[in-house]
Amino acid sequence: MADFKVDPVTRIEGHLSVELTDTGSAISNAKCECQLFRGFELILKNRKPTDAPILAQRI
Amino acid sequence: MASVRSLDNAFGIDPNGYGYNTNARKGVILRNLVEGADLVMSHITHFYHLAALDYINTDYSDCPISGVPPWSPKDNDTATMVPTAGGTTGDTATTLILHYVQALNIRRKAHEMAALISGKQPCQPMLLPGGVTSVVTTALTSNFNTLIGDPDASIGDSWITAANSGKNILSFINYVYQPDILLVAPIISGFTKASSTQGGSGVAKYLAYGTFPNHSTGTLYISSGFLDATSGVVSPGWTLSTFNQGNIAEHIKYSYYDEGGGANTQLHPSVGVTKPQYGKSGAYTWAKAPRYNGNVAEVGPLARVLINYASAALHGNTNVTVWKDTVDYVMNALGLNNPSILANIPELRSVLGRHAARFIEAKVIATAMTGWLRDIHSQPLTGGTYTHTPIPSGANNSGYGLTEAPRGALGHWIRIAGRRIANYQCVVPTTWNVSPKDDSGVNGPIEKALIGTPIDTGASSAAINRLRVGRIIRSFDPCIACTVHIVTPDRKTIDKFEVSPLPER
Repeated sequence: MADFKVDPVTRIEGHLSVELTDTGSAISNAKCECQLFRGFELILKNRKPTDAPILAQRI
Repeated sequence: MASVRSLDNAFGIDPNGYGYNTNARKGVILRNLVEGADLVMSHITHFYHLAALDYINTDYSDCPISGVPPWSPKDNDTATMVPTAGGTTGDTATTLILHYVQALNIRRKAHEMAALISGKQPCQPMLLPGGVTSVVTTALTSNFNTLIGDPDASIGDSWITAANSGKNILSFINYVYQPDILLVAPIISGFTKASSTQGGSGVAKYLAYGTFPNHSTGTLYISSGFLDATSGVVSPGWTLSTFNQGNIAEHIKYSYYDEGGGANTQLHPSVGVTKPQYGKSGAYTWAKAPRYNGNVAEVGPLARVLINYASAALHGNTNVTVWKDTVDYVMNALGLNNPSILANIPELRSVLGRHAARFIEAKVIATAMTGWLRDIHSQPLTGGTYTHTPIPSGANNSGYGLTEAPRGALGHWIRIAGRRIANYQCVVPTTWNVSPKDDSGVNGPIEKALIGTPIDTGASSAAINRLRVGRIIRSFDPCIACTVHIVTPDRKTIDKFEVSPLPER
């Protein structure tokens, strides 16, 4: 049983890390870790509804 | 797009959440053209600039990117790359690398095509509830036609030629992207189709919300549905059920969010809660775990292609036969047709399938866009000719907007109170694919695709294993919250910013 981690996963858009457990012959467990909080839900709260398309499309 | 559709829905324009507007049919078409151009741009970018390098051996003497970072040095596994081990020259690899450069120009043209309507790409300022701010002019349609490669219906396909593959989108798709995917796919299919033992298959359950509402009927050009394709046989075996956004719920047991004693998990997004709790015991990611009727589901081009294919193949839906025709073409070209194409369709539940699906979709949608552009001119002059319709000044409403981003099903849910946003929830495509375990401990699609992947133990095992993992993850085209990192050599803090919601009014 060994662990290895691919961090960062390159050539994707954004930041992702995967933590893998392997049995020596195959991957037995995988954890996808998104390391950044996005928070548009909180940014939009209490704003005018028409602000939503302008801000949310930046996701 | 999902956000503006959530307002359309909240203000009573489209009860189904797709922005279908009988009072502004030209606006519906213009939105579809922008969304279509963005999809084509994204798929070309993904194949050439993000994924193809995983399959091209750059360890040969006259490689044009030899020594060019970030591609060299990179993880190579020459036995599974173009040209394969024992291949004679680097000619094939060089062709693909040169197409990488050509594709940069074509993706720019696809952006430009969308920006003719949107004003700017990405992040389109022309979107507003009730339609778009853009207007249709002869210059717009003429310039759009030049970029996509469709001069006029009466002239036929004369602009779609191999010689024009550097000039317009349809020529590039037909004469560069198509041969390239058919060149790479057979080489990679040995280890990336579903029946191979190299991992990458995933959960084999697929979800699409659908998009591209027809301006005159509201019918979605990309259909919605939930497809259970866990069986190795399509018929009988696979089941396609009607999509209902009410069946979505987000689990947060393994995510950095406060469960509120259980009150905040497994909520429908219309009443979703975002309360960060970094470092929560047992949690390992900022992504939530969306589930459909309790099912884990993969979203994206493969989901859309299989759902549309199943709709045509299993239910005889003639609206989607163009999907079946294009899938059949690719399956024949890959030799996945013995004893029948239908018998081999389950092979697409794989890394190979995700790349093939992106090409299939780019071709189907780019071709459809030429028809949508012609529809603008065929609009009757009375009623429905506008690009925008005024909206009622909404006070206390809720709504949702659904679409298909290039990477998959995308939905936004809004609740308005006192003319302000009281609650807003985005469930984005990659959240489905990159999701952690749900409350029942079931892994997300990418996690499931990685589990079972064989580990190499030879001399170059570290690079080979990284490449295998990277190939599987990149086939999903993930898009995750990103930022700009500014780091000083001595790690000095330069400044701090805090983003907070506006206060209650």
